[in-house]
Amino acid sequence: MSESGPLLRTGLAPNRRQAVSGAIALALSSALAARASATEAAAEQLITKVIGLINGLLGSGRSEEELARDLESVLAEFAASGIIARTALGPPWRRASDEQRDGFSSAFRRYLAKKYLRRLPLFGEGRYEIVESRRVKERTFEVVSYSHFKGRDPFSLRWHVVRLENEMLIFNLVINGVNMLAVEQSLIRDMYGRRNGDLDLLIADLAEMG
Amino acid sequence: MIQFARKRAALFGILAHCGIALALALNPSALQASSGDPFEATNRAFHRFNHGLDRFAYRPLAHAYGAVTPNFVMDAIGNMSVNISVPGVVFNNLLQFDLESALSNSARFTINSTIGLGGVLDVAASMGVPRQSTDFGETLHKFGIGSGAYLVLPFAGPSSQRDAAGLLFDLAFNPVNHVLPRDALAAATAVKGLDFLGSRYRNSAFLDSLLYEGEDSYTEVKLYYEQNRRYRLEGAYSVEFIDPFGLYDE
Repeated sequence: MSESGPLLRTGLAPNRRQAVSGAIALALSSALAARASATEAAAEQLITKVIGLINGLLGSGRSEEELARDLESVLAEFAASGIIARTALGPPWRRASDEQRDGFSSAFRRYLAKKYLRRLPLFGEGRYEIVESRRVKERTFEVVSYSHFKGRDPFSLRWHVVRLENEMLIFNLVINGVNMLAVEQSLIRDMYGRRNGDLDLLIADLAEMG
Repeated sequence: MIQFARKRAALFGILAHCGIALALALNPSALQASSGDPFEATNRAFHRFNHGLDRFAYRPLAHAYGAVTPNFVMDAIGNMSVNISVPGVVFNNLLQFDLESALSNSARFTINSTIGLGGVLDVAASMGVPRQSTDFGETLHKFGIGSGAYLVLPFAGPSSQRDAAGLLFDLAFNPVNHVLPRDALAAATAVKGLDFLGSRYRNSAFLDSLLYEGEDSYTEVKLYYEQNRRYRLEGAYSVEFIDPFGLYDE
């Protein structure tokens, strides 16, 4: 009889050793499953919180400048700023000094806040709602949400979340299939090229743009 | 009648302008590749043309239209415009062997054209038949034809070799164009035009940001169009999951 025998002979009672190892396996796998769903739930919790904040901004009557500052502080608190800046800048990040890395990270955050304020959109009568979340890899997750705006077709926001230490942080956002980080990578590469690789100039210009 | 003939001549004039782009569209040599941009020089020229058109015509007209038109009128025009396009959508549903959508879209069209007062009201949506669109570009995609190279069409904007060919097909074979009497067709065209201004107005925060605030609107429009179109046709599978640890060096 092969190892898989007891599994196939379903009507038969397993012996004690099998019962014990089966119980351990079951306990272990349910613990693992619980941990997995716990981390997925944590990713979803993060996005629930962020969407709650964004829904609060909608129709708040705040000026565009105030909204940009609000969004910037949401990013500062809930986004993996280091990963986002490093991925968007690409290879030049390796050569950058600590000071340049900090400068680029904060300029890029301001640029993203000003820009995505208009891209999301954050104006008008509407709200965002979570529909599903899934694990992508060991430490990365995807949470999918949809917009409901009056008189418009719904569009999807796919939030990409990473677990760092014990903290869940957003590192990318895909709006109706348009991948923010992929688009910014390409735009920043061109901007860096047009400035002949002058990172300090790029940082100064980014802080003004968006 | 004469006036209409003139309009038709103007339309052919516009189509003649599209000639270069269409010649490119129908060139099958690059119909599988999609990442590069072999027609970049022509594309950039047409992008500049469209950009100017938006700056000096579409955008100011849209703002004027939006300022004087109450929301419910804009909604009604939007609904009518969508309703007019439904027969063309059903035609493509059938070409895609998608009987279910063909039936539900036919039901939508019947309900909205009658109880919905000629498409003014989207009664079908509140009855649980949501609107869903398709085009011949998608039909070609379902038959396994790749997008081909990126194209910018004058007036029509970002497209691809496959989708430009699809657009031509949809213009030529849309059942509405063959069934409606000329006056009704002119009215339908006017509704479509107003709806275009309405959506330019409603999306102005997004479009202004995309067209006027970046350093290179050509590249950004291209990336947006290509990724959004792939997402529409292929769904979640088209989304690239960027590795957050891809550049770790600390």
